[in-house]
Amino acid sequence: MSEHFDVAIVGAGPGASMAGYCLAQAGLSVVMFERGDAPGSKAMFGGVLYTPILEQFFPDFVTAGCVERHVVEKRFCLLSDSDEIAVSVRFLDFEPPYYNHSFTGLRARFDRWLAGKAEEAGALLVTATVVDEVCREGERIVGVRARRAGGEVRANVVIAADGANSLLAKQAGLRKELPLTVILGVKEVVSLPREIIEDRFNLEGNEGAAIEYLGGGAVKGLMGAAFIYTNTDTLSVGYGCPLHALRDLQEQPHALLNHFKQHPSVRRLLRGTTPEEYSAHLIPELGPADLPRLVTDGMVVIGGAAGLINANPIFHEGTNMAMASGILAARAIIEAHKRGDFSAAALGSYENSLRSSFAWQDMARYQRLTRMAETHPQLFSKYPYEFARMAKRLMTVQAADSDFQIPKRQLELDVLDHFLAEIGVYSFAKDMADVGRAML
Amino acid sequence: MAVNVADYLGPPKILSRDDKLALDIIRVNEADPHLKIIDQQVCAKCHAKPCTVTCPVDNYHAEADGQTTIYWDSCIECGTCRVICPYTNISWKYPAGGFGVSYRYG
Repeated sequence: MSEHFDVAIVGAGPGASMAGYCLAQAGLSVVMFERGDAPGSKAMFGGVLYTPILEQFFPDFVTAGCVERHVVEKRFCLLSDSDEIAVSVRFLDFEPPYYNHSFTGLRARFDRWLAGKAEEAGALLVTATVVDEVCREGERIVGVRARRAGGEVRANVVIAADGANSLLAKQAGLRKELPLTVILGVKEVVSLPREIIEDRFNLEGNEGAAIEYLGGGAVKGLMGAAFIYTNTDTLSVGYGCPLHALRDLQEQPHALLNHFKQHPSVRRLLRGTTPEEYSAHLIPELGPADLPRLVTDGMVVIGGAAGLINANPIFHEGTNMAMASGILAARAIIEAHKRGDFSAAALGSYENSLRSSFAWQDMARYQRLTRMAETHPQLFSKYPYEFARMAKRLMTVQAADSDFQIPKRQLELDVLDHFLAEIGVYSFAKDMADVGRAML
Repeated sequence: MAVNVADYLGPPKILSRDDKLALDIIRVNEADPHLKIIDQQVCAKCHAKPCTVTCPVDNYHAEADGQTTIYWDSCIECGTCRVICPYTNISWKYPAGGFGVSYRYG
């Protein structure tokens, strides 16, 4: 085939499908290439979907079966080897049907559903097809080459939506190899009857919980975090750590997941579960110097391929940012189509609108926090552990020889001594100032 | 049918690498190994061998002579080995369309 389309999209993830939907709605001819048997079959995330965009475009998405549970609890836990300190934030008064625009999800279901929306709008979805290369005329990108006989497809614009690895953006010269700051996400999906999930996690009906774990008991003090998310009748159990940290740990990543699953606090939540699937994926946590060029003549880069991710102990976002970038890219391409000019300059409005959107702003802001964390390993290796020990000391009810029980005053002084000896006022104040500065 | 809580109190199953992989659907394209070591001499000189401790399915094994064996047929296509290799010594491409891992949950 040497067909011609207005737009060829490489990928059929959330960003690709939103772009495909918007472009097809506007009457442009669109082809989307998915290398798996179906959209989502090669995808993996934690994960929680943040859905203001879906509400705007597909108000019935909640009842369409594409998401799992609406998140009413976010719990942050520090794990030492055997103990846990947790802060739980429960928000029960957000209104249905969108609640707090936060739903647990599974990509094989979600991506397939969203790609279906692009297809309904008129985009052509080609599955089981890998695209390895862009086609060029001079410097201009004029299409893609799929790995099959006669697989050259011409298009006015190519959208690289091929995810974290984005070999296409690399092949097109828009980005270098990924840095070692990229995060490896590793996950098991385990099944449990929905009644047991609701009972065990203190949920009613379709409510869900998102629990994040830091510290030695979770990921052996590495920069990164582990998680449990409640789906309808499964749990997503996993962690994410930068590659450089996993390399230095010198332990198999699948064994680190087992370590997390066996922590006393975690083990209790996972009783009676049946493992269903094991998965791993890169999460494109890039430094400012590693970000790709977003636009060139005849091509734009969106979503994970563009490094759009907000991965840190508090927020784990990405699919929403990908969807936003897909929409913004589509709008720029629709304008370019009207003018018949697909040069980098004509497509540049995509980059401008993305840079002023939440997606870019959040990424850039939390990138600074990540850079800071890389030079402050004690935030992950030491503080969670020491704070858990201090809390345990304060809460330990202990008999005393000279009295019935150790007076609280003594426990408070013990904790203060521990803090001064193990952490120290000056270094703690300095670290907190560094965290604060990174957030400004 | 009512769910009996007592049936769901056993400790979580801790799976080996092989048992984890056995959960996944992977269609192997025997005709086309999609991962290759470009130059085994480079591996032989690499002491750190970070590929052997970062692959999430433990597919990289160092042999006694320093060469590297890739169990590419159980690859789940994450890209870690390509990024972690200090010498860019891994030829890495996706399996052909319809092959490789196929997630049912993701």
